[in-house]
Amino acid sequence: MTLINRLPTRTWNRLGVNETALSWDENGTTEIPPLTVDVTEREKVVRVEVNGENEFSRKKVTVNAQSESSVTVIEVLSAENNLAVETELNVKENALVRLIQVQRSGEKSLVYNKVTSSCDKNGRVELLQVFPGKGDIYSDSLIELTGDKSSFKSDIGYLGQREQTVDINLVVNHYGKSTESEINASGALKDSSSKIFRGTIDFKTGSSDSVGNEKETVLMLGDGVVNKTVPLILCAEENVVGNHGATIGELDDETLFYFESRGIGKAEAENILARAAIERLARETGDEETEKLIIKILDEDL
Amino acid sequence: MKEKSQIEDIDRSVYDIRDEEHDAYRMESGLTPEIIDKLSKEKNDPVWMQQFRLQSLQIYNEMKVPDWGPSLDGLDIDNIATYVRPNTKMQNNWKNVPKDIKDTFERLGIPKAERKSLAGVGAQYDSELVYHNVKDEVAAQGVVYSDMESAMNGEYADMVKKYFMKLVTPRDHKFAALHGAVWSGGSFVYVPKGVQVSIPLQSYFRLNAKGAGQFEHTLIIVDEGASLHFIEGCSAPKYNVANLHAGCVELYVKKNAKLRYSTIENWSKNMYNLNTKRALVEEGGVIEWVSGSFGSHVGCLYPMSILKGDNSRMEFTGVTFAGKGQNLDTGAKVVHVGKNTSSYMNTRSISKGGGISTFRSSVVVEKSAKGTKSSVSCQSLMLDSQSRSDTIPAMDIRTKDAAVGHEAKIGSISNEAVFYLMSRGMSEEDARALIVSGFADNVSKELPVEYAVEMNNLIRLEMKGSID
Amino acid sequence: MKNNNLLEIKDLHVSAGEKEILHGVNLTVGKDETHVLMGPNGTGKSTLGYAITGNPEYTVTSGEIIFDGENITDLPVNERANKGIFLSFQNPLEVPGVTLSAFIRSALEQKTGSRLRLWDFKKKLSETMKLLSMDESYAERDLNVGFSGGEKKKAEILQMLMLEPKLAILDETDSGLDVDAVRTVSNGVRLYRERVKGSLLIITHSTRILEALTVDETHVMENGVIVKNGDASLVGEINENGFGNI
Repeated sequence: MTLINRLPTRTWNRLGVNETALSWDENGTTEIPPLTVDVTEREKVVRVEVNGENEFSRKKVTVNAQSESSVTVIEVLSAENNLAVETELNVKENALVRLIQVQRSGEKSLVYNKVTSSCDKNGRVELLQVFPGKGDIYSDSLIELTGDKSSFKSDIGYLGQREQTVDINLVVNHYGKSTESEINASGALKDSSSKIFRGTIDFKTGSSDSVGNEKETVLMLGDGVVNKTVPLILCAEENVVGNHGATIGELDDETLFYFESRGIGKAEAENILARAAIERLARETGDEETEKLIIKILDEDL
Repeated sequence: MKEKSQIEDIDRSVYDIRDEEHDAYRMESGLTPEIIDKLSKEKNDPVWMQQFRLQSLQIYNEMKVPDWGPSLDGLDIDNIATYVRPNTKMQNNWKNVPKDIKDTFERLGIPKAERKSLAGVGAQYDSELVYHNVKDEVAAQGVVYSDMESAMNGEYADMVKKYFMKLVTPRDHKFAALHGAVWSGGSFVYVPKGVQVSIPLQSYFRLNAKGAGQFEHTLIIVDEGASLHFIEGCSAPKYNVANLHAGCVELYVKKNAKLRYSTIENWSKNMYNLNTKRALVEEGGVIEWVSGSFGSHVGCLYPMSILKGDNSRMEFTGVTFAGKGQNLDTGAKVVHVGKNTSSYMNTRSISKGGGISTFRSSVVVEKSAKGTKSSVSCQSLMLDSQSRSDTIPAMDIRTKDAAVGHEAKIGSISNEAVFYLMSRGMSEEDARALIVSGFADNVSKELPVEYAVEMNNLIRLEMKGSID
Repeated sequence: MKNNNLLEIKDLHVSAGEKEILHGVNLTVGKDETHVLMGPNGTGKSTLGYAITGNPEYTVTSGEIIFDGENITDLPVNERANKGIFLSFQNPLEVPGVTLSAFIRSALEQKTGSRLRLWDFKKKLSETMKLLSMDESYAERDLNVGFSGGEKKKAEILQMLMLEPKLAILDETDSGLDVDAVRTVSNGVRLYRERVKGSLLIITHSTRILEALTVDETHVMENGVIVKNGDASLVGEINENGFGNI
């Protein structure tokens, strides 16, 4: 058992949100050759296909974005078994790294997706995580905004179906002054799927004039769904602004009426909205190939 | 913690012996059945209570200190017996009351008589008188309002037995077990069916009069269709020799009944306040919590509401002010079980002078709770960068037929607002105090006016000297 | 009776919660006609619009709604929509994640029961948006999210023109709009009459939206009943004298 997705500050144990125990066979893990990407130019695009073919596979990806460079890294995580992907981002001064991750995995699969990032002065990380796959997804991200004026934006979209587990932990540590973070998570849960989203904005001492915003929207569609939402704002600095908002529920009457008044019945409206979170992110990728792939994964199910 | 070898570790000077009873309990570092038995005898416990205490003791010894929340390192858990002193009397005279509390009283303008009553000398007469007045008025309506010990052995013994620690069981957590073993004092209230109690009942008088200690038990049953406002230990801060408070409050709100439970807590600043409060709400019932936390060194306080009946609801309105040397971990919990239940939490927390305030909440919507509505809003204010303010909410939703909303905000006083008030002639200190009072008005608006005034005075006091 | 009536409302009583709002409304709208519904605030005009559309918040306690010869009183909202009833909302809802274009396309597909040819759809959408002076980028923006008041109303009219309903109910579509926006919306409404030849029931306070239209009948509602029916001249009369003198 490996403990992952730890909440930075513990709360009541009976809620079952403090961490997740993952059964992972460390000895039987096949290491896929690691990849290191050094970026010095601007607007570089790197595509990484990770295929976990063995029972337990792991791949490490390291992205070193030098000063003034910018890169979009597109990772497609395909698995039929157990796959761990660890992506490390080193973002130097004035550099921009966009990491796009797409989960394309089979029904019995498990993906453990770990992202760590440091971010120097004026550096920026944009994390776009799209989880439309059929298998369980465990996502654990730690973003360290070390430099002044460094910033982070994340958009996370998921679709939980059948007995699927979506288990996400995202921690943003603000160290530098005038740092900014924005976390958007939205998704739909169908059937008996379950989801935990832990999002933490941590303003460390010295991170004055920083801003952090976090927003989560969950559409509950199935009769057996379980949704856990744990949004933390930790603060040790006076002059900061942190906001969090969460909206959790089924299709509300007003929205439903609007759809129905246009001739779209409840089932179809739910279907449209279940896809919506993911489709929006597909468009946000700004990459036609990736957009098509995401829509294709969606079409397999909905 | 039952190891005798640990006795050597006790720093005896800390437990400066003031009364003879104390000696008896220092023979063993942990709590023993003998200690509990002695307590039971002194309390004149019925047999079931005697057994209950012993069972609780066993659970206490088995359970671990929680691995979350503020550090309890300052508590001498291994020598817990030293906190448990039956017959703890408010025998201290005014001179022994710590200076900061005395200052608070002076500034609050608490009448001399009341101050004396706090010290437990002479003025008990005043308190008792007021208490009796309240008691007579409600007694005429058939309301029972007595201390727990009398209730346990009197006319309502069966009711006490039926409800006592059924809602907060000793298995709940280590300090609930401790409470079960050593509880002493507190209030029992029964409001019969359909009775609307128009004046708030206030436990403050009761506590002062009886000198109830830091393990008091409050049991309130509001029967069908009845309503009550209960104010807990409010008007004056309490001073205790020992610095652990592990009280327990159990509230039973029956069908279509309504209970408002208000607290302005201002314990002295060496206190570990590990209080457990819980309400069970039946069909159509309403529980309203109004809570202000200003005192204590460490506080862990999360009133919990179980919305068992259909259409039941809860509201929690709270403010927490953590100043220098304080770590106040407060919030609320709610479990939705019945259909069409609703919960609403609205809290503010303020951190200043290195104080730590944490808002912690839990909203659980069970599968059965179709049509649930829940909304949580918490705002935090950081007054300097030596302090800390954390927001730790959690939601666990198991039915799709629910609408759950949560919002949290953290920030500081805007310079613009301070400037605006100063431009109208206010000093900076007053301007900031005013802004903080306004920030906390979610609670002051819900309090009877005299308590609201007192709360704002407390805030002003805490804000004194806030300008460097 | 030769059925040239599109909508017949017979002695309609409607409640919201416990409270009855409409106390027996009678109203008939013929095919290819423009009707105006006027009346002071809070008299139940919007409620009537909702009742015709089938908003579940409003309960028909007695009376009938006949649409195109069929009793639709108990029909679900979406089925009414697919039969050709359209309501332009006073406060259109924001739907994050679903683009305006995708929304209209889904609605059309529900109506026709078959997939649309993407190219044809996009072409028609883009033409229609031009007619409404709507920036085409709005098609790919989330439905109503961050739209100004005017843009939201235009998006409603766009939906109307694309869905081509038999009856369009415009609930205060002109309120809160500036002169240019009213003109654009009003042109869109005229276009609907000319092209689709559908009927209109316009709930309004002002006459600005009516300028480009020929009004066939005017109805005045007060306290949940229709108190007066008249021709187009009634609109002018009310504008001059107010509701008090009718």
